[in-house]
Amino acid sequence: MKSHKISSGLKHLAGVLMSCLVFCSMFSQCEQERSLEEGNDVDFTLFGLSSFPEGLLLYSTGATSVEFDGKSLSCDVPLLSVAEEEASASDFISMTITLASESDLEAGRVYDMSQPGTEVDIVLEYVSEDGGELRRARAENASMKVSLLSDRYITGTFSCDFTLMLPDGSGEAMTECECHADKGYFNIFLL
Amino acid sequence: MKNARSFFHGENSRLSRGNVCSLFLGRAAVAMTVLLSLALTAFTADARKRPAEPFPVRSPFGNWAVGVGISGMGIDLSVTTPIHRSVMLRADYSFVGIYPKSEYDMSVVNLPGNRSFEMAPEDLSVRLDSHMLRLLVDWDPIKSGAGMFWLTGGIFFQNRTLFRYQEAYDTDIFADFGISGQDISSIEVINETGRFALDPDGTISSVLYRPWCGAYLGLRFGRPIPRRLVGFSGEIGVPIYVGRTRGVSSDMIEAYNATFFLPVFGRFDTGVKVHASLFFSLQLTFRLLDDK
Repeated sequence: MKSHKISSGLKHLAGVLMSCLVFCSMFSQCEQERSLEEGNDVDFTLFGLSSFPEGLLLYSTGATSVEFDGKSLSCDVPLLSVAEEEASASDFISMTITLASESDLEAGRVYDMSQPGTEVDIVLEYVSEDGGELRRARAENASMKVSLLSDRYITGTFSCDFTLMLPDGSGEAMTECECHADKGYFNIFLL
Repeated sequence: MKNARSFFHGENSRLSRGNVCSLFLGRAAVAMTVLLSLALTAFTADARKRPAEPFPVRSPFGNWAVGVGISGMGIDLSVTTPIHRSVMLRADYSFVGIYPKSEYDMSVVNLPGNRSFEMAPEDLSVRLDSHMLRLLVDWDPIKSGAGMFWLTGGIFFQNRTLFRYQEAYDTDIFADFGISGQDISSIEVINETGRFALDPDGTISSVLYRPWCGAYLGLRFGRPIPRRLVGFSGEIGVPIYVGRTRGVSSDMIEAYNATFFLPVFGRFDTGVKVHASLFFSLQLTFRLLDDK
């Protein structure tokens, strides 16, 4: 009689444990499915390139060297292009983003260099077709808006202007090309 | 997980209604067992202990009783008066309101153009509201008003919107990314329940509608107006609805799990049909006047 009770109790316990395991595995799978899909960390459209009159979409799916301390954000993002043909006179390699403020960064706020105590620095690395020299262009009139800020992500938009040294129409001389980065988007993982 | 999701997908509306139906049937089975055991105990004890006393013959509207208890539709309040020695007129009101608080959990938002980020809803509301008014006639066909078992029947009215769920996202955030107005419906939101397309106002919502009236037949044990000042009664019956039950929710792209906070997703409409469910209640009744 006693052994029957023990056996019955063990079966009941096993059933409860199995139910918990099944439930927990389903829940964790739901959490995995609910995690971010592989979306862009950064993307923007570069206007002003003669080869792309409607703009060139540049994007990145990974950010490196991310540093965030509540008052400043910096990261490097390798860039990819959605251009199907090699019609660009340049290859855009990466972008470095730095945003810093004297006070804590806040969601819903726009940051630009005209604000005292604020640093918005965007540097674009690219290679022109004049021997593959790596060039850097520092953004002018850079503006960033932090739309969302949590413990895990900082998300927002940006825009800026670049002056790029690109081959002219003949391809023999380098000339300054005024470009504008618009519809910029960033979603950087902070942890 | 794909197998689990495909199981839910396309079956979700029936599954969610099936879950609710099973819950009601389970509760009804428990209530029936309790009622029958209480009835047997009360009936036996009453027969053993009480000496034979003449039962008062009540004239129409000659006495009143009020009852308070619990039922399958929430808190139960009733008022009863005789219209004949063996026929009682009863108005019974049942209500339940559940407004659970939920913490705002992060959802994943997918924008067109391969942009994804985490975002919590700025507002989340869940409401379960049920109000039912029954106008009933209780009849003792055997003991002319002195019996413990009564037949009951009548009509009932209830509110149409039984359940409402809504989570709202800040559309100003979407405007930062150039999406506003009708274009908001191109945004997908993934929460623990599933993957949804946002409504143009930036919300995910679910509403369950039910028929607003019907007929009721049941069995009551315990006198509607007790012999003594306080009595106990129970009831089990079948509300019969003629109408449509509708579920309306935001566009659901993929279902994961039904939860208490979103048990109805997808859209369904039963059309005008005859439905039946179970109703049960336990009440304390209080006689208001002395019998003459």
